[in-house]
Amino acid sequence: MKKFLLSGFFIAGAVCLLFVFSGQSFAADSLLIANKDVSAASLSKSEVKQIFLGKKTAWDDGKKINLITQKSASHDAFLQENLAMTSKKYKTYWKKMVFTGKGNAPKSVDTDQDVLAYVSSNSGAVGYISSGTSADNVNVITVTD
Amino acid sequence: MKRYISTITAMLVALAFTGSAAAIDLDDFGGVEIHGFISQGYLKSDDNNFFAETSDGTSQFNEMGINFSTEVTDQLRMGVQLFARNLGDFGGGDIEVDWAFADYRFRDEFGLRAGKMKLAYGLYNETRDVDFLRTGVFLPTSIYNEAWRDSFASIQGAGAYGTLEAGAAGSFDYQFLAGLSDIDTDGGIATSLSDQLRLTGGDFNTYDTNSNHTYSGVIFWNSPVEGLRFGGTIAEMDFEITGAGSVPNPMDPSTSIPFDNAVISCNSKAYVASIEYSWENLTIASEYALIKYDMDFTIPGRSSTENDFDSEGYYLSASYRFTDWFELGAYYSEYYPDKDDKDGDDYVKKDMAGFGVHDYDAWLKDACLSTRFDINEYWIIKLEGHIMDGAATLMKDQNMVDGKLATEEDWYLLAAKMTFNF
Repeated sequence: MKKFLLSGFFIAGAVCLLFVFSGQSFAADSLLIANKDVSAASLSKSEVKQIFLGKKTAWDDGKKINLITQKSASHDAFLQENLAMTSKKYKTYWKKMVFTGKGNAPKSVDTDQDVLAYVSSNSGAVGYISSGTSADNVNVITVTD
Repeated sequence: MKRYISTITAMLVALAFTGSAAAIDLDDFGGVEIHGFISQGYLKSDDNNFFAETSDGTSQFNEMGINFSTEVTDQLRMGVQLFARNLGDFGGGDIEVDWAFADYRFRDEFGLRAGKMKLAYGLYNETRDVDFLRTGVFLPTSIYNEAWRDSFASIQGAGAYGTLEAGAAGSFDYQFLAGLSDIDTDGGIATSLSDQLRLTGGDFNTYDTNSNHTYSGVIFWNSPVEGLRFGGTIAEMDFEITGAGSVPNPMDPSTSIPFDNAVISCNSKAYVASIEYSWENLTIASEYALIKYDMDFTIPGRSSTENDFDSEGYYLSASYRFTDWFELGAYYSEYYPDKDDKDGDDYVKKDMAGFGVHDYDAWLKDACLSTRFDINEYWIIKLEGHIMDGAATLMKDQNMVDGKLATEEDWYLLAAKMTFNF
């Protein structure tokens, strides 16, 4: 039993090293968008992270931040670019908030068009779409380092 | 057995709705969200019993919870989570309020909570009852002692919290809580303390408990290095347990002197340092805890004995998600109930009653390997193995043979668990 478990440790460690250094990368290809009533023209990556982790809940003018995410490939790219998180870790973060009573996960829709429809029609709303999508009826927010 | 069958039945009913399982959103009821989880596990050890009859294999290991929450206004949230668990004799499957509090956020830098809340302590205490939020089945005992879990999970009182931006230096998340703890007469704390009296040949049966105060302060620094955060916790619990029992007669040790209304008072002060690094699919964490205990045992009209000591624990862990459905984790943990007696020599000398205490009962070293399989978004299966050295924290009642402590130094624990959450 002991040899079995020790062997398991060593094999797991070796496989870990192979996967850790294989890595993945995402090209910068998402646009941060907000409702027309949001005055912010730019946000730092730190501010974007605080918004999508529910730690910044109001715009500078006091208006509530209405957060929306999506389930498409844009989600992984956006999280990687701006929060340095995988979608799994992001989901786990919000589940921690839910199961400790500190918050509920942001609303999530299926496509860029769904995000555009939501953001354009909800006060204080902020979300993201893929860079190739036309950002009609919303403000595009520049994300700075 | 009945609890086992009802747990499995509940899981099967829940699984039948897997295809559409998501948070239940009762928009028609003011936007109340409902979430929950059910888990069933199996434990098997080759020797020592780990909080249940694990040497025979046991399925007395399950948890279930359901929560309801709503945003009353943009700044006010309210919610409640009901929770029940079994781990051997602990928990009993009794439904209890896990948390129920109101949360008013004045601004992102400052908010207030009041009610029953999860106790902030280290990296993972607030979520220790929700195992689908981590890789493994068990958290390292060196920091998250299973023996004290029922009293350490929540606090009833009030707290302040917030996030402070520090520009180029990152940000700080803080929580300060004050209130009282739940201490059951047949819970882990009462059982652990009465175990200690047995070493002197005495006996103690708890019939009353009183929490005087519990404080917790946690600050996390989210450093400018992406994914790297440091934390510090200071926590204090002050409580008493009252009971009846007996102590050996000093004039004739073969006989006992009964007592009633005796009090064991305890003040514990904990200091925890935490570090966590998260990079893509990798998470590395390490924590160190020093807990200072100040205990008194008083028999009215007779004697009062003081016992002050410090415990120490630390661990290093790593986990990696290889695919959407597979995650691997490992940790190494060491725990010493008395950091000034790491070799257990003094502990053996305290065994005046011939209880059969060994030096290795003074430490617990744990090498753990965990596997996690995400069958889908709502259904998780875990398999975990522990190579253990030492028997500290184990319940003595569960490890007695013919009146003697029968723990083994080297032993193994296997844990399997299936969890459904929505």
